[in-house]
Amino acid sequence: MNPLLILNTALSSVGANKLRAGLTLLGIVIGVAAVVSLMAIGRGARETVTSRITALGTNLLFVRPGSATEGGFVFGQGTAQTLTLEDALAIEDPVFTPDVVAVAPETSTGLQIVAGSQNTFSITLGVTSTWLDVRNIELSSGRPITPVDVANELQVVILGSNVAEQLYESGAPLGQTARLDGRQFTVIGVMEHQGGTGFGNIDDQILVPLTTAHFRLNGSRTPQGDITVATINVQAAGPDALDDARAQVESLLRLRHRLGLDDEDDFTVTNQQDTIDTLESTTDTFVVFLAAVAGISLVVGGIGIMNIMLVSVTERTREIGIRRAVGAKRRDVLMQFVTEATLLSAAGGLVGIALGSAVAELIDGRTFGSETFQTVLNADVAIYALAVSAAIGLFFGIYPAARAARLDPIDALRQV
Amino acid sequence: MTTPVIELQDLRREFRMGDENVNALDGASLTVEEGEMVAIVGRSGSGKSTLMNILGCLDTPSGGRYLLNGEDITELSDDRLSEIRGRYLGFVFQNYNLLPRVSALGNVELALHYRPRRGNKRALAMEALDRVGLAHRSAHRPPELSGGEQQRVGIARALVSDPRLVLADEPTGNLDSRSSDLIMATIQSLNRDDGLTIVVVTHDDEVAGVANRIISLADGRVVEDRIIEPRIVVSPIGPSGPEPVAPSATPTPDMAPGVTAPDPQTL
Ligand SMILES: Nc1ncnc2c1ncn2[C@@H]1O[C@H](COP(=O)(O)OP(=O)(O)OP(=O)(O)O)[C@@H](O)[C@H]1O
Ligand SMILES: [Mg+2]
Repeated sequence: MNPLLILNTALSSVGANKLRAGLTLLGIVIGVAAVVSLMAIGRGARETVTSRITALGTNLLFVRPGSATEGGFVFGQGTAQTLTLEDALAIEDPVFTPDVVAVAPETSTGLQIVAGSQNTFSITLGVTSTWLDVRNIELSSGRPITPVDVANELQVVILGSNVAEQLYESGAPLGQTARLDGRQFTVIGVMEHQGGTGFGNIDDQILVPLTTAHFRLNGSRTPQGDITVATINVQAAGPDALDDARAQVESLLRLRHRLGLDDEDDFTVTNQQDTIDTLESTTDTFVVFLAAVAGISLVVGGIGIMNIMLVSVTERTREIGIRRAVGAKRRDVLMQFVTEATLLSAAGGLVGIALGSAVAELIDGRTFGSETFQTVLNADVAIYALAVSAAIGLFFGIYPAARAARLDPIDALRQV
Repeated sequence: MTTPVIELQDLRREFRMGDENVNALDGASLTVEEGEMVAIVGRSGSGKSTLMNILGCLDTPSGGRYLLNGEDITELSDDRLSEIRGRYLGFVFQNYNLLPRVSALGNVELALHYRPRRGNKRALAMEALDRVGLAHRSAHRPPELSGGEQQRVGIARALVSDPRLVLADEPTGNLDSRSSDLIMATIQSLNRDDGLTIVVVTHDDEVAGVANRIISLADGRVVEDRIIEPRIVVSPIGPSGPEPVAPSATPTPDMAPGVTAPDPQTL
């Protein structure tokens, strides 16, 4: 029996019961649509993250405290309080670190910020005057934090663009006051919109002088009384000097922290690329996980197809008998039902791809809550989804088809 | 002497029903030569259908030998049996066994699906429909045809593959005597005009009389085998003959009052 004839037969059998075929397809349609749209969202997020980090420049190093250990438990990276302001000042000294051009330490606390009747929760970074330059962030208005602000622990604040929008709908935040942890702060600047989504988005954060953060907000000290910092941003002389700068920072900090030869680092140094890699692999893992969950509905859809094919085989027993009587071999019957199942499933896949693409297109660039979605549709996902749905039909169609093929012609014909 | 089309030697078919064995065929032997038209008669349960199923390679005997064109079918694979059914055999069923959603033409064409391409299948199917006088009904689906018309589609399907042997198990069992005559005329014409070998199972003496040989079965054995002078049924249709007289164009089953309705097409 030639392939065209098989396809034609399958098409007319599927077409003979359109409602049923449609309902059977629904599982596959939803599964494929979910996978396609989630992949598009995931890829969009990945691109946003990458472009945002790349925009920072590539000659940055981030020094963070190592993991805290307590009673044998190892906490996450950055949980120890081993980095101090003194460390930052030491790194700035060109004697130890000739390849470092600028250093910007920061502390970090989550605080409620209140302005009039508006309030929002934001990550409050305590920074020095170098921070904006090192992080390559411009102000859209106002002035940066100066060494004077830091020296005098002045209660001034620079807002991220989203925070400014949320707190001051009138659009003129400069010179206004805001309350942080019960204290009055004066808004001295607003950062330019950086874009991007997710945790750690600078648009959702605010900057205060590091000393203010430490002494007036909830700062923390080491047992020796030093000011601890969350991150030290280190700017290397250039992309080529990055490795040297890293080595210099590492040996300096080991010295300062009095680490012996056998001791592990109590801090970590990462660069942009590390951050991009981690974030990308995190988003990738997340997307794959979501897609896997969506994939489960594909399997459910496949079971639906198997179910309907089993019903179909039972209903069409006599047809099978007739076909066997006019010369169909077992494998002809097998092929017919497998083709039908695959066709059903692949059709569902096509509809699902269309639906998923439409959903991805629809949410592209839209903002939900504080997240702006960016979606990226790729042909490979569509091809993959189509192949998977066809494979599911094939897989779940084989058992019903084998049952059809196993029927004895005479038993099949006797069926009323 | 040419090889007989059918040669049965001591054919047996047992069915297990629980711990009981039913000997549906209990040592049946017979030979059918090419060009014969044989009627098989016998009481209900005498094994006629069982015999036909084996003759049609739809079922295999539990003992004895069946040579079809000299080929021992008991030793053949399932694939080869399918091939034989498709190439050498044509079936006409009591309940027509047509695909309800497929047109008359499509149903006839189905018998050409499972064989290597040979000529224009559609044209061959149309020719076969014309042969049974139903060319004008080719686009109708079985539910839109009368019982007699459906059976003629069945005959067209049996003859389209140019078989050596046509097997008909009670082909007129669901029809009244008028359509029954039409069907038997068509079948007889296949035998007399085209030289096809035909085996018909029937309860009806009128129908059996159309054959030129009558074999009686009882308890799974051949009890009588006689040559008769066939009753010639005048066929109102033939190769491109006139319109059939009996069935009307409307899809009403052609049956007389009191006759049970044809099997509804459940497919
Ligand atoms: N699949 C089967 N399983 C068990 N017994 C069967 C089977 N098929 C037929 N038989 C038995 O074999 C015997 C012959 O049956 P068969 O159908 O050949 O009779 P028949 O001559 O065609 O009868 P009828 O004229 O009523 O159609 C019967 O006793 C029947 O009960
Ligand atoms: Mg019978």
